[in-house]
Amino acid sequence: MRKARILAIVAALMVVASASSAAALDAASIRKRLVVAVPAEVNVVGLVGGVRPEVMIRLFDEGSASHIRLAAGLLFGAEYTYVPLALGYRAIYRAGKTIRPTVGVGVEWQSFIISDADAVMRAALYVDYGVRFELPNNHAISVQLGPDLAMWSEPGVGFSARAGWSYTF
Amino acid sequence: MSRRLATISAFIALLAAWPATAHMPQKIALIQTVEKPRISWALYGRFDKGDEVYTIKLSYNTGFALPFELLVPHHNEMETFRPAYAVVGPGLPAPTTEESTFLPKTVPAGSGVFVARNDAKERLVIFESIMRRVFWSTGPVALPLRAGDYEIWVFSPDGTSGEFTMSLGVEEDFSGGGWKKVFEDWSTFAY
Repeated sequence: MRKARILAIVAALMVVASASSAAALDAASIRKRLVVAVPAEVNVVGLVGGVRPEVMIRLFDEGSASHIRLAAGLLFGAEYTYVPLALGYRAIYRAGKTIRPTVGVGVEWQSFIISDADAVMRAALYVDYGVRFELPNNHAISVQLGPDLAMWSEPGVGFSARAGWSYTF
Repeated sequence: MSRRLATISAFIALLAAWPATAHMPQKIALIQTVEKPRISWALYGRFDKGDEVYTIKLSYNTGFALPFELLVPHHNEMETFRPAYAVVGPGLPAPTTEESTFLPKTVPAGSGVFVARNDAKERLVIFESIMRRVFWSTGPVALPLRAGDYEIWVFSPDGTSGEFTMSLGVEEDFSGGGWKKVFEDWSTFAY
């Protein structure tokens, strides 16, 4: 019985070790596909300004334009604080060139934090068009413009302009 | 049609649909006649000195139940700005002595008045989702009005200054170029 218990523990440890190795390999390969950015942003509908850091993961081989994008923003305005969370797709074209056009689309969860009332939250779609200016050592400056459109519980529009630093791992 | 062009076209089509769910915006003068008072209006004004009295003139050829609401932008500097309004015209109750003292002008003979003092301890806060604005509100009030000529007086009882939006009407009609006005004066309507 004791032998069986020891064998079970060893087998479990081997499974955990192999899973960790696999995870480590995935983490390493993900890191090579990462692009991070910290742009400043202004949304001219309602007028808020702040930052919206984003992480992009390249989907396919080096040179591919396709990326998954996750972004979370914190923007301040006279009437509310705006916290958007975005999940989407961004294409970054012309790999290896200095000037690279970008186009993106996705969904956002938009929260409007009001000082003396309940927060308003809604889902929206966004589109953005922009350009990256590649700099030495994997740095870049990126600029995007684009509308967002909420069509369900609290319909409305927005239009954002973003510019900032980006780094490709 | 390419996918990119289809995406752009879809967004433009959806944006064009938004005026159907919004008020017709207009900046107003101190004395303003509203030609189609049944239409849903958002009338923008500003008290620079605090002693102005805005007079909005309306005419109805048939009876109508009309909602009224006075909004103040949710800005820190306007937290103590509490403009009031009065609807003056036929069929409304005669003003009380207290109301007569409170009002900036004398109610004409033959007319009655509805007064919204905007003095509730906690004001209603509303989120205007189309333009992403937040306002303090007097709360909407529906008044059944008979045919006749009416005036809305908007005034600042304690002499404070700030911006306001008088919201009235129900029907949607943007044939006067609603969204064009918004883009022509973006900072008034969007901030």
